[in-house]
Amino acid sequence: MSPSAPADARADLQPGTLDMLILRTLTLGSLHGYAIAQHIARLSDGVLRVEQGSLYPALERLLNKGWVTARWAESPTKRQARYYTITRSGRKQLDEKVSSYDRVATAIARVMGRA
Amino acid sequence: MSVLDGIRHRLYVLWRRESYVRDLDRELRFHLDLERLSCSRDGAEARSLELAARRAFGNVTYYREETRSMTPLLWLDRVRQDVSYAMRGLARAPGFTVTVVVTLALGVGLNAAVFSLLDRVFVRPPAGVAAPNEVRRLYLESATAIAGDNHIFPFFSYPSYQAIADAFGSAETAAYTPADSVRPEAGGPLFRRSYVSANYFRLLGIRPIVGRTFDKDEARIDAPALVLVVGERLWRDGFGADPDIVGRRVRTGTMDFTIIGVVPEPFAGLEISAANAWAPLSAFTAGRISSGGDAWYLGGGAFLRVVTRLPNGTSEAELEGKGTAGLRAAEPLRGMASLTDAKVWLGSVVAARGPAKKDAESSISLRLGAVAIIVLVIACANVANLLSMRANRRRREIAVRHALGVSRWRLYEQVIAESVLLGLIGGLAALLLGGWGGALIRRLLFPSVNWAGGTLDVRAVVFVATASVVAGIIVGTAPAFTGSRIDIISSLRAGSLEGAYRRSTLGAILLITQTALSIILLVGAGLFVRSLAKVESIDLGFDTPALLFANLGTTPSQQFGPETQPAFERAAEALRRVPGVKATTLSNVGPMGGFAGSRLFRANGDSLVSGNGDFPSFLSVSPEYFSTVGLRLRQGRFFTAADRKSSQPVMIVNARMASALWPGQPAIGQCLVLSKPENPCVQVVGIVDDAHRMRIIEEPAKQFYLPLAQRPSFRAPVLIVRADPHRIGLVVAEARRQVKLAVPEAQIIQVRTVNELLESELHPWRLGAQLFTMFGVLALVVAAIGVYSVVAYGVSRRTHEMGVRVALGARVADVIKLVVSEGMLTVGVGVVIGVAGALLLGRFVASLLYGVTTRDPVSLATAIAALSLCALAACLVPGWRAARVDPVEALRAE
Repeated sequence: MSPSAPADARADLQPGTLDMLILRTLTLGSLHGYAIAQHIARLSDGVLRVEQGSLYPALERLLNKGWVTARWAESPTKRQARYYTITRSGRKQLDEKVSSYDRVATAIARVMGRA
Repeated sequence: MSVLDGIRHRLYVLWRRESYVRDLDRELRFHLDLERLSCSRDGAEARSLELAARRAFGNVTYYREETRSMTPLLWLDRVRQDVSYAMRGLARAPGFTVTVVVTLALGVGLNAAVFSLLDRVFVRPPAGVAAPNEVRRLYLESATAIAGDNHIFPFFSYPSYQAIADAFGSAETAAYTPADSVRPEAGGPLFRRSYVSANYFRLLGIRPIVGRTFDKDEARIDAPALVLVVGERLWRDGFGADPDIVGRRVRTGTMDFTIIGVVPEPFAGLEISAANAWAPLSAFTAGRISSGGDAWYLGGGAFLRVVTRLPNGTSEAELEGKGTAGLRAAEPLRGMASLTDAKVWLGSVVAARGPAKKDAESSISLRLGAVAIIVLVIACANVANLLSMRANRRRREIAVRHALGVSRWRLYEQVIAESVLLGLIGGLAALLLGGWGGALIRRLLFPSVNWAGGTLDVRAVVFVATASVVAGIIVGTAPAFTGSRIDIISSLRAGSLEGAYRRSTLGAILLITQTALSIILLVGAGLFVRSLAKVESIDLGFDTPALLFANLGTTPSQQFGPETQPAFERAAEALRRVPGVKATTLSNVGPMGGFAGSRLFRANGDSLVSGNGDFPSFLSVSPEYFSTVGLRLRQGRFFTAADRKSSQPVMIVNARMASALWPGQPAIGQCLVLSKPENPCVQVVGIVDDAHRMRIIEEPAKQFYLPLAQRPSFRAPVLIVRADPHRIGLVVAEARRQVKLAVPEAQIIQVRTVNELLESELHPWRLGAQLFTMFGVLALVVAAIGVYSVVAYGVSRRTHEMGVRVALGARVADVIKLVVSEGMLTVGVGVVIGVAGALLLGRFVASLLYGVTTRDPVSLATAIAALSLCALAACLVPGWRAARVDPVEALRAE
């Protein structure tokens, strides 16, 4: 029934991870979708390869959960863009995700003998 | 906060669907444009720029859909899809749809009607009463106060009400009579008048909207105050909401009442039967005397209902203790059993929730509730069966859809949607049916009930909606379970047009359930019908269909005593010449009208023990009494004209009294002394059969008869007429005319047939018999539809097999036997379970039955026979069709 998604995008990033990256990016301030995508791509040096489109289902999910809010505003190019802002519960969620990520990352590093 | 953010977002999406979709497109476009601009620095041409942007973005359509699927819109779409699919499906099978909707409507509609009934009888406290949960109804428990009965009842005599009121102290008590119906002489609406103690309205917290309610002057019981408080509805309908109503006079019967106030809607008394006018208790009696000859309020007649308001901090048990002590300390009344074993109980003000013995009507409505639920279960089982057969028939279609990739859950959803839709349509039909049926039930079965409101209120509608959706889900779940468990291979197997035939276990179980429940209802109907027949055939000792009687009503201004006896004798004489009249006689009390009491001594001066509730009572009668009412002589003689005041005092005793007082001895020739030990001895000259004194169902009581000439009635006598039952209507009119001629000054002349008198007692049985029969037949019809559809479905699936059988030489009878025996086997299992259930559940209706046990073989056999015959007929039709299968057709269809 459903067209299959691009295999590489799905293989590289779990939806939960993408949520975490978006929330982290939004702690910098209100941003539109394209800016979020650019920010993630730039900071990860292209290692984390995300198809830009996958950002939007993730944003919708975050909206439903109440972790971000959205509003229309004028962009620097004088066009209307949808700006996303992280909410307080979004920040709380981010803290939890980061700390659990840290635990897992440390544990993996220890097992791999790097820590 | 954040949860709210999320919810707000979802609501926004649902609410502004179009603008949301547009915004999403705009957002994606904006993104792609920016991406293209960022690529354009490399200096490529426009077309490849667009491609590059799309490559970086990914599949735009896919992501748009994916984003959309995150929203509640997806869910909405699916529901819409399911509903329209279900509607198309139902429209394609109108016969199926109509059957299901009608079945559900019957089941749910009946429940709605009964629900509003139960709600009124059991749930709602009387309307208009302030803080009704503080108000308690009083009950009296006494083993001896009523002969042969040992239970709790809600009636008090005035002296016992007084004793309790005194004992309660600061907790106020009010007394009232159930409403009677009188039509004012000037015409207009019926007055349903209740007599109440002066503090009644104050205790219930009801303030008049015009005038006043009763005050201290009207509290005196020995000073009849002919004033009336009317209800708002009566004020509007009967008096055109006249603001100057206070002081207007209303003549009812012979009493002139002055209206003093109006109380607001919706108050209509505390009983299920509505009241719309209230008079002080003192007016009730105005001149009435008790059987002992005293004013009524000194006598022991128990007809008052009593309520109290529980004061803060007082427990029910405390008040019960006080009341019981007060009652036991009260002086015993003349001619009545003492109340030393009596006990006072408090109960809810809702009469039907009383502490023990319930009103016949409320227990009927409780059973009605159970019956209604059984009918709903039968209806559900039937609908589930129909749905499951439909699912089976669509097996191939479902298999194809499944093979095309529709998920199992999705298929399941669609079946559920169809069922819920059916449930809702059924519910809508049920509302119409329930509104109409409820009105019908009210009018036919409970005409006197104080309904206060429409047939279906909001709660009933909510109930119907819930019931129909729940019914839809329940009936949908079962077939969905089998329906979506699909074996694609066997369903699509070549050569089998409609998939493999598999006998449906579920269908059989549902059929068994229906059959069993129908049997239970039919047995219930049988038990009630048989009880009614038994009650109707009780030998009261009278020739009831032929009897009527006439007496004079007393009013405050008009009372009649023994001086009217000669006039009554003239009327009796004149009536004897009227065609259709067979005999006439006089008595001090009418048939089933009660009895009189007297102290009794044996010839040696020993007093006969009183107070055990079975004290001999007497009637004073003319010589022709026995032949007129049809009472048979066992021994000795009847009275004659020779038994005069001056001759030897004589009495006739009934069989029970003779055997109780003189066991093993001849009663004839014995003698008893009445009233005072020094009175002359009264000789027993005859023994007659036992006759009922007051009620259809009562223990045989000791009773004796005295000649009216020797023991005159202290009131006007009653004229009893034996008439040709076919001409009794004419005789009633003639009796009224003759009494009026004989006593021209009489204002109220009551003429009634004994059958009329008995009807009110027969009502509960008649009601039970009618209801159970109605629902039993309904269940039978629904079950027959169920059997028919299951068997017919089985036959249609086996057309091929039948064709082969016929081709191989099976005879018509063989095929019919095959089909019928399979159907009847299932029905048989249901019958066995149903009989077991009926025997088990019988004890819940045992208290409503008379003269039949719950194991009554006639009722059981009738129910089994009725159901088996219906089932047989339902099997024969498809069996016959199967036998007529043309083998060539059946095999060619391959």
